[in-house]
Amino acid sequence: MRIIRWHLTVLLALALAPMGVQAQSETPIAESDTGNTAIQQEKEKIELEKLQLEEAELKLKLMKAQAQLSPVPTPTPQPNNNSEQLKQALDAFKLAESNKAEALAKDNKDKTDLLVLDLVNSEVWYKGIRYGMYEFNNLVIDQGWKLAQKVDERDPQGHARNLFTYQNVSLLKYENRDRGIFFMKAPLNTGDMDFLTPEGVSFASSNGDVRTNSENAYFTYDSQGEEKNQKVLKYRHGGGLGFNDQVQFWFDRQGKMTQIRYGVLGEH
Amino acid sequence: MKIENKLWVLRMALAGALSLGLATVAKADTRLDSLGADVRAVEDIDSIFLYANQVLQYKDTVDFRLNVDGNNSGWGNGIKEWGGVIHNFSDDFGTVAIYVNRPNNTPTVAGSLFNAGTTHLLPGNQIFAASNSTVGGAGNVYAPKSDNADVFWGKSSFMGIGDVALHLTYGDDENPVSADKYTSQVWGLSLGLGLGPWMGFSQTNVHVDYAEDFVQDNNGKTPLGDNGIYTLKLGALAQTDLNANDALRLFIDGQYDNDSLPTGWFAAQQAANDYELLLGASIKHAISSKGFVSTGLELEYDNVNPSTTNTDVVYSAIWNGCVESALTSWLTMRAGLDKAIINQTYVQGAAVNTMDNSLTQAVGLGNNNVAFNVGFGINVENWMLDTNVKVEDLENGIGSFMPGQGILFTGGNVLTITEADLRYKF
Repeated sequence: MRIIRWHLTVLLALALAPMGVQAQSETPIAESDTGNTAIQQEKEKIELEKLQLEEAELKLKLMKAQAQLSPVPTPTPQPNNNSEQLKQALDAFKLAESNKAEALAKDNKDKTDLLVLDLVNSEVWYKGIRYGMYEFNNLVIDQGWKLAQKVDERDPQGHARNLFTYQNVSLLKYENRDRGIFFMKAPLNTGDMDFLTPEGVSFASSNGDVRTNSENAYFTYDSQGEEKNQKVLKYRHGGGLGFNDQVQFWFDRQGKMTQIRYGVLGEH
Repeated sequence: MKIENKLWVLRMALAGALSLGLATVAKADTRLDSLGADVRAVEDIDSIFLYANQVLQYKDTVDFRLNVDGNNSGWGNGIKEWGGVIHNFSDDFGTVAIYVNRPNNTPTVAGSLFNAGTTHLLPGNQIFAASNSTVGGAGNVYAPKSDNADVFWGKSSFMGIGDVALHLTYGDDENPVSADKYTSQVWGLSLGLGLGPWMGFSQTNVHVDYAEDFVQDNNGKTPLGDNGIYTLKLGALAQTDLNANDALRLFIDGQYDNDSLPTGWFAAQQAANDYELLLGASIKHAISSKGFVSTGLELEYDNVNPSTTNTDVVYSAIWNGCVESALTSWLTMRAGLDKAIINQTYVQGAAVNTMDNSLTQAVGLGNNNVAFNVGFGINVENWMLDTNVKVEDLENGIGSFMPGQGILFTGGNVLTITEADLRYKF
């Protein structure tokens, strides 16, 4: 009976998958009709690559579904193999995402006010150069920009939690930890930076765009909350001990994205 | 020569004069006790009790101390722990902290190197020997054993001055029907200033403190009050970055204690006072981002003038070397060594000044003693547990290690925990 259920699920998933791909691909086309931003043109450019990426995601989802439908050990299933396959599929997805980010960064290497964010691999690209998201301070220094730095607080053991800021981009990170919190506020002043992800999400994206494009093999949807009178879309990766990777998109009452926050958002 | 260069040379000269290596004596905090370090020498949450403005840096922390008074003095067993909460309400309102049951005199690792003696107020009660001292000096036997409450309020960028915070202390021991029939109320107020960059230093801090103990003798028909039991403290600490990995700290603290009881006091009339001066320096060398090595030196001069005995003049110098390094993302190990470089007490009586050799030796220990400490900390998400290990058991375990049986199974407990602090960041 369990085998029949599994086959039905696989068939259902295969039947629905193309519909999902088609539905998601329609969003950028509809937006291109408005044709009012250069960023949307970038979205069209990466649409083909996106289909390839989603194929990898679908494979991963199928494997996850298989794992969920076979919770009781049977003579044939091999949990270690499933776990290994999941890991391999996730690694393949992360590599594909990294390649997409790199291609996108190189296409935009002449844009001086754009950061390409690879949220899956914790990387930020500027002028075609790759940096770790948690070493944004080094990017600023390497560019010769003026970096503002202050000790925002300390943990009880005295370790400083530094706040690095350049224009509308900030990094909050303890001096003794590898990860931190990277956040950008919507550009307001001259010299402020915009961002773009391989999925086409930017400050110009709507709540619907983010919902459509931000869940993937790495990030799962967490919840929509409200903080400081703003809507917050939350995604996360991980689950065990230790801080999860999280990403949040903040929207004001008019639906305009005001902030993106990424990293170990549960860390205090 | 540019002014910056002159300042750098000055700082290096001061460091050379004051620092044979680096960091210093410890305070009540478990982490600092594991390092054997003074809170002036190594940054730590205990600094809020010295520089109240530091509550702004340690905002949003729950802080539980699981020992009676820290420094291996026994577990609280659920009834004698102390601790508090620090919370930043907003940038406009500022940060508030409340601690309860804080001991009024918490010994440090450095203090354990000295013998307090039986008839002298010092040594053993130097500034570096206790993270906080009894109001009026060590001779005040009437002070409450712990504070009822310590309340802080701090605000950053206050009126263009910098970080400013006030620390109000209240403690009492009010049981006039007890055998000793004395009551005591301690009130204290401290001001801490964080002045930020100044004179080439990356950060500067100043503190001013006043505390008074109101003691009453209820043995007679008419209650008798004290003639003035108070303490005045003043101190400053500055830090500068020598390079990307090395930071220098210089600090100075002064203290005046007065402990005066009137004629007719049931126990004995007393009029004692002391003044103390501490100078110190430390250098912290960062090991990547995962730890540091620190060494420091503290020099202290103390002069105690009790009316009923001879004057004690004490010269002491403490050296500390310590290391803190993360073994994994969740486990950090610490160790520190303290040594009394100078430990001399002179008794100035009516005749010839003499050196009191008995006071240069701690009980059961040799002259110019050493203290070694080891501990580790565990971090899981926002929880932190810092512990101090009983060195004797650790060394016995290492000494009786037999291959094949495992270092953790040598017939005794290798990691006996003697002290711990539990904290949460929110």
